[in-house]
Amino acid sequence: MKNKGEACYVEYGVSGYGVATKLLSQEAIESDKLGDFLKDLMVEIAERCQKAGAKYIGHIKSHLQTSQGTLRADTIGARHGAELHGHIQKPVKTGELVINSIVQGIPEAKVKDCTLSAAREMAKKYNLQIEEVEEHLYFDEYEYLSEADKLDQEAPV
Amino acid sequence: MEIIQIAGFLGCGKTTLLLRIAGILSEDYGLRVALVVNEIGSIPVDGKVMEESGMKVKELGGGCICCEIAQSFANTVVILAREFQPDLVLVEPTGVAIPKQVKLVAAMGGRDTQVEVGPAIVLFDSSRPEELMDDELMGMLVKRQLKDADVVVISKVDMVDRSRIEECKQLVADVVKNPRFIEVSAIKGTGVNELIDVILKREPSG
Repeated sequence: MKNKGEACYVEYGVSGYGVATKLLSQEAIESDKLGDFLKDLMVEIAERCQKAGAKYIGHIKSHLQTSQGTLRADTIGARHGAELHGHIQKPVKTGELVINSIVQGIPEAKVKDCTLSAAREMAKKYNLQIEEVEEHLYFDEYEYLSEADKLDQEAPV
Repeated sequence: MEIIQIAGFLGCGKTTLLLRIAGILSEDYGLRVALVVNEIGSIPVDGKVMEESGMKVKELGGGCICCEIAQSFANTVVILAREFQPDLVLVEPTGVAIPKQVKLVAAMGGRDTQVEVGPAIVLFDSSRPEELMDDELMGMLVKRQLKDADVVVISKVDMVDRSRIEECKQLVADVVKNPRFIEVSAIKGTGVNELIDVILKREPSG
């Protein structure tokens, strides 16, 4: 048995962030529009992580649960686009959205920033409100640094 | 009770494939199937997807079952064997887990029960072979996972052409001695029956 920090994935510099949110809208939204929102969100998070220095997008995934069904979207990198599955039977005003981002090459705090900033911006674009309910930072022993981070750390104070 | 893992790197299609084969084994073959899904974080996505399938699902979060929460996984095996008595337990480790370690832990959990540890089925994503192999760190992990495979599934074959599939096989063959390949599209069903044959230890149905 290994302690946290000695886990198998730590040596590979993989970082992750998960967040459970509540999605709200003034007007009921149809399945297609919510699907577009999720797909755009996945790609936006991937792009932000890559801009922040991520060398590799492991898997960014989401799950939206509503009273009328579920949708899930995921991406393995912006250039791959996003896959969408599921359907919502009738327009809805609320849902529980979970987002999970796993990338390599940037610390977990940056994964968090990229995930949340993308979620807020994309929600705004689609006239949605997003409220964070619970979050989870993981892979907390960060050993691999991107070139930008190394420079940041080595810069004189 | 047999334990079979569907392993492979992040985003290679483990959850989709697992749900597909679990559905067939349960509905077409009448087997009692339990699913164990491991996500390192405490906020799951895959577990939610699996729960929607209506099958018996045990979610293990808060660490990796091959190392950090190995004991929890071993305990889960014992509890499933005693309380649910499945014919088959399909395990989806995290995309960064080491299949050989998962097997060892499963065997540890099976010491006090009638458990057989089955093959490690390791997926290789045909939609991004270079990304998987070329990066020094990630390539090291992917190769380590592949070396532990009893069966290598070339996944998402509906997304690529024949030459790409052959490239993937060559990349895998460069690191794994005499791999057994199955080409699979979980979405379209390609290769799924061949994989079922492996799980059921049958001669290929052709």
